[in-house]
Amino acid sequence: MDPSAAASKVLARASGRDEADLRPEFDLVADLGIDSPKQLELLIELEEALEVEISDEDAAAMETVGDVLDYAAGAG
Amino acid sequence: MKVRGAALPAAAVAVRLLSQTLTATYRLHRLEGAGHLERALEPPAMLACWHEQVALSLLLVRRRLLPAGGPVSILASHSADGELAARVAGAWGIRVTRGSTSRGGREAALALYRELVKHRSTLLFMPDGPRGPARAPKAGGIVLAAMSGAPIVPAGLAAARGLRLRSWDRMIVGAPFSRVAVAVGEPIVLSRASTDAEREEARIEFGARLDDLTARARRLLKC
Repeated sequence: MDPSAAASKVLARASGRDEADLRPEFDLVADLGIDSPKQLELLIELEEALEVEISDEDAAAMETVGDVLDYAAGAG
Repeated sequence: MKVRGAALPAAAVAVRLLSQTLTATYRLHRLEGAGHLERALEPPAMLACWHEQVALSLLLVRRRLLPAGGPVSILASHSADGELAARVAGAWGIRVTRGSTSRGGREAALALYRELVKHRSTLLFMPDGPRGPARAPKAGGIVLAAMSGAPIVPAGLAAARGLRLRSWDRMIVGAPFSRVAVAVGEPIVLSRASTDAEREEARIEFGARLDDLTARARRLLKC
């Protein structure tokens, strides 16, 4: 599966929204309600979907949907 | 008392020697729920107690976890106290992941997940750490258990004699040669498919179970 598509599915599952509703500018916390425990779930599923080990710096930089998708595109 | 900078290495040596000496003198008066404790010796697993009991829990590390041969891990915060804890734990042969729920929390939790799943560790885990509030379990540990499939093995520990520090958790330090009682409860197991409501219910139950086991350990000292 395309890495961005895989990340989009993970984001949709974590936020409980349809993939089509996810906009790059959406803030994970403020707009999607992905709180700290949910962010852990998201990072674990992202690592598994992309088959990568996300660094602390990359994890800390993921604040919006766009950040996650950009990371996935770069990881792929 | 905060220890920082140049004093840290000396303080770490002092705390290590003190903790190893004290723990060597503790007498395990009663261990209730030994069968449940066995589950914590089959990693990945999370052995949990309140933060106030972390010094007493070294008795279990020394007598049960390290002799079992599998890796034992803890989380230490980025603070000066965390640095001290990390140095002491490292000297004990415990693997240390740095981070906290207030700084780098999700990154630290992700590292703990890898410790559990990839390194197959037993995680010694204080759900109200690193800075409290005391006896209020945070949600991160529950998510970690659900995502990793590792059971949470709850434990309560009490010492017949000792003192409480003036730290946020009022940490218990057992007196030399003190009797220590341990009550271990039924493991809490969650699946990835668990709902948010089920996880919240498990978090509340987890806290109640730790309180009950702590009270039970105190009663065991009277037996």
